[in-house]
Amino acid sequence: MAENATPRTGATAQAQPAALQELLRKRSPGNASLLVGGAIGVGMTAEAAVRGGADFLLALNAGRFRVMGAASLAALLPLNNSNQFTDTFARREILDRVDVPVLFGACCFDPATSPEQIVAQVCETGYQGITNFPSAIHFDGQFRHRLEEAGLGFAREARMLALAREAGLMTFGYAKTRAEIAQLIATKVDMICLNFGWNAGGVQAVAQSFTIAEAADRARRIFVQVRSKAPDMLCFVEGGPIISPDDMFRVCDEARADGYVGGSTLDRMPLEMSVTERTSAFKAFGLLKQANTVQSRELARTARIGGVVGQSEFVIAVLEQITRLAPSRIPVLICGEAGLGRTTLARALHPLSRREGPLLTLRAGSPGTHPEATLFGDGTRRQGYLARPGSTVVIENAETLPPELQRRLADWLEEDAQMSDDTPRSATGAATNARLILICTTGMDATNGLIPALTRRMQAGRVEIPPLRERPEDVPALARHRLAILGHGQQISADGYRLLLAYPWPGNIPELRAVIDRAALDAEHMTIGSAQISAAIGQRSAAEPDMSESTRQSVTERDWLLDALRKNRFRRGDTAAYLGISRKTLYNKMHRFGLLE
Amino acid sequence: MSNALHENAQDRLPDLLILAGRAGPACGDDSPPPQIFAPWLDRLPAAQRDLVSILPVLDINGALFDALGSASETTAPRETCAAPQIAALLCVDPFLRLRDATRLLKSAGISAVTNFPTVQLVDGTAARGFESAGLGVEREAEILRQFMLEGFSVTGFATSTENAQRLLALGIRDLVIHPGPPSSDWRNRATAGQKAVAALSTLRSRAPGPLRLFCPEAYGHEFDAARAAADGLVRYG
Repeated sequence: MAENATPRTGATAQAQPAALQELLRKRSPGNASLLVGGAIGVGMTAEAAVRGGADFLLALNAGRFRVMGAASLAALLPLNNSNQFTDTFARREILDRVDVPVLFGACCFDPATSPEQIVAQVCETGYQGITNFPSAIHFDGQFRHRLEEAGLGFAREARMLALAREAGLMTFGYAKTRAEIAQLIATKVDMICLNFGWNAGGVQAVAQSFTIAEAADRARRIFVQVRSKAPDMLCFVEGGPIISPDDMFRVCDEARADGYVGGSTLDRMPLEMSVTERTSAFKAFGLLKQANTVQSRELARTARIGGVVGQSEFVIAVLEQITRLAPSRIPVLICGEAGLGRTTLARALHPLSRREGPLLTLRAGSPGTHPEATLFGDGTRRQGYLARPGSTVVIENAETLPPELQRRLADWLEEDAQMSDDTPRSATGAATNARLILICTTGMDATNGLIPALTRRMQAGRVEIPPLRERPEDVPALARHRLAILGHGQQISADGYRLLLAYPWPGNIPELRAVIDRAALDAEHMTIGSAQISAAIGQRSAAEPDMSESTRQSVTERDWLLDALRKNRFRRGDTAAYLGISRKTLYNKMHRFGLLE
Repeated sequence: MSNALHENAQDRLPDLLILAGRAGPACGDDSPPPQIFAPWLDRLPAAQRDLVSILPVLDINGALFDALGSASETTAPRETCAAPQIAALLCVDPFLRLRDATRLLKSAGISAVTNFPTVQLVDGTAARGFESAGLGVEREAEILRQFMLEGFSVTGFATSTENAQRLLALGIRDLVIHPGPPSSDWRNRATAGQKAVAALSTLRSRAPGPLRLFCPEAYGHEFDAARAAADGLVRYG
């Protein structure tokens, strides 16, 4: 999208407000990210939106009504004087509290207040800009005709925006139809927002007029018209069927939009979901605690001994699997990329299983090792690991074992399975009830490098550890865990967490640890900010020669993903099905390869 | 209400006035006609109040409850000879709490409500949006029904035959046909007049109570037929 961003001329820059120049700079060629505006109505969501990267805020009465529990549509009802209402909360909760431009949502319906008065008041209060909201664009039919006849319609809003522009305010014009767009172009507003109606999604969803495909197509055609007449005008989309970053991406990408304005999508929907889920989690915790105290204790013990940190569903699933496997003698195969704590987890199975024999580890592939002799003995009096009673035998890099040795291990497992626990072993001439644990490094093709016979024998105890990029929700917990170990009492800012969550962590947990260590060292205060995190990540990326391989692989995989996305018209669900991967994995891969920008 | 009623001027119901104040007729009048109490009315320019009263420029219910609250604090209980009053409520107000509203209205001696201004004025996709968000005609009717259950008399404004029938189905007897905000174009006003006549004619046989017509000041002779077809008029006082 960066390549297609309309170059902004500097011809009018002198007359533009500084805040607008900053937005234009962000959309200049070379800056790939879309602009995001937060249409909000309360201090908490304003600050959260800015922490999340919002480039500007629109203080709208609709945002206030949403957090009061009403639909955005209440913004159109005679529940108060919209301008007074909006100004009151914006002054108290938003203005001077955020470091991005705040635009006032001005209502022009009141015949007793002229556009001149509104603009003067907005300037005097200290807003950086103005927008026409609530707007006549939300009405149609006979009522809209009456509004226009009465001189209280869109023409009045356009006039207000023109006055605001003359007064040096940033102007953000909402429009729905081509005629409204044309009026805004004539008014020379700085930013134009094509509204697709009230948002779908969530508990208070409103029936929709557009599908995503229709919205994208409509925006594309209209923005072509806008840019042919006003190349410097920033073009935004909002509302209707756009309820997720995926939707936004699709519409903005197809329409070459400069950005998106989120209202319900930034506050109502995430709040509904997160409050419901969190409350449910707290409520369920008490119930589960009663029913599953024993199980919870076991999971906690597994996590503690296994050095497992995290709270994602993947981590919980792994802990449950390990807890179930621990007391058995089922051979275990732990697969995953390097740097995920696989060896620690494998070793943890030994104390968790309360086995009486020794914990024995073999690092296959290391110079000087003789795996077969180590495992099965060398024919002398020296006993092989697998012959030691009650032992747990961990083999790292098992995929590097020679195929013949892998076949022998498979045979040993076959024989082992056919014997009951109390039957003396005979394969090596010694009685054993050793437990075998293999650790394999999963390749990009998701294979583990073992011969099929051995893989089959290990299948019942196979544990997959997903890479960190596929479970970003564990990153904050891992980062906090590392800070706790460092013991300086430092915390990470929300901006910092955002960077941590956005980074793909090709080096997994060790890389995260290194970044946290570095950032903690660089931080001058108790809070580690985005600057330190960013610098630490940058240093790692520059210093890691082993990244080149993954980058090389990434190029291929990126093309593969892009091709699949194109074939499926960027429909996320269809693409995931086409590739045979989950939507989440697809999203993570798109994120990793910069395909969300 | 017989068909003959409106053929004779003497049989017509007295005009139902919408007033910003609560002043009733002097004591001694026989059964003074009811009035619609809309304390916000004088805050809006007369020429645009039909339109603007449903837009976000004032707090309709807040103004009503403030007026009732301050009146009950500063004045003696209403004299029984005053005209009975109908409270003008924005029924689709998502923050309207029935328990509080009924208590306040009763304490102010008001036992009747009406849906004025009505969300029915909004049409097209905007109306569908309101309906979809639970702020449309259905909610308006439901609130009126709940007031009826609380023992209030209800006068229902309806902008169409369909909406009128919806109110009739709830058991609302007193109906007012609302022609919508007046247009500056006489042809639009004439069309509104014709529609009002049609609605009154359709509803005549189905309505158990009076059928009134709301007559904004901008409507002139193009409304004569509708005025004649109604049992009475509702107008700004």
